Amino acid sequence: SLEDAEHRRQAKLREDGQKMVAMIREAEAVGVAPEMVAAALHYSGAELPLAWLNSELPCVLEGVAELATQRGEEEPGGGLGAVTQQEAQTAWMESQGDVDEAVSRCLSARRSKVRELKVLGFAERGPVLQALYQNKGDVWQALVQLQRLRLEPFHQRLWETEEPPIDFQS
Amino acid sequence: TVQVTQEMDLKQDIRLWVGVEDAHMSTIPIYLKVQPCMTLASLKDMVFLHYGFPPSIQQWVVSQRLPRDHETLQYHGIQKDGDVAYLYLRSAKAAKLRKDTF
Repeated sequence: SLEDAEHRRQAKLREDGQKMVAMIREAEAVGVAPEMVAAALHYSGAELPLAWLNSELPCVLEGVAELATQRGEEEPGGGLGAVTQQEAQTAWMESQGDVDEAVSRCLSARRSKVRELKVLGFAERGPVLQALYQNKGDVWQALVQLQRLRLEPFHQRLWETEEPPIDFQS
Repeated sequence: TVQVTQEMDLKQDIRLWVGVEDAHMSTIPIYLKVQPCMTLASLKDMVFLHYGFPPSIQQWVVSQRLPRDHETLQYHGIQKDGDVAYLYLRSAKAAKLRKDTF
């Protein structure tokens, strides 16, 4: 009957919810975000998403990063550079485990990072892509690295005006 | 309320435009991610950590003031993206600093 169906629907909601809470609790204990659990479930349908994340995720992320890197090379104006596993993971998590969407997210994230660094005074593509790669896609850390290079002359001059320390021995 | 909004803004990251200068060079602009509630002392520590300039040679300038270590950026009117400060780097000699002593 309709009433039975409604009852079953609610029972299922409760049961699924409790299962998910248990998985999230287990994941939290080992420092894994709820979004990662959900993405793993969605991608793999695995009964034990935590175990799946441990054994299978690195391979999936490698695939996402590789695909994104390949597609980024076609980007006009010097490409988007090598996409890191960390960026692949963020994108994969945001896309709830959808690989195609994760690849597009990697690319659009890279585009906006490149654009942002350009606005902040770093238009040359090569060093920008290198800094992004070395800093796992973190745009602020990449900026620090690029700016550090730009400030290098200050460092050189900082010590150059220094007088040699007085040597009492001679 | 107004107070709550202000408090939230103080902890928000903003992008501070910083003109770096020393005795020899014209301005090199950089951007720093800061929070308006930061004190000058913590700003100096951050710049040391990221860029290697010892706090004792960092002379910060906001408008025509020289902010002191315990004062916050917000106290000196720094509140949003694109706000401007200058970092004048004193020579190590003038700061009586030696490379092996910091």
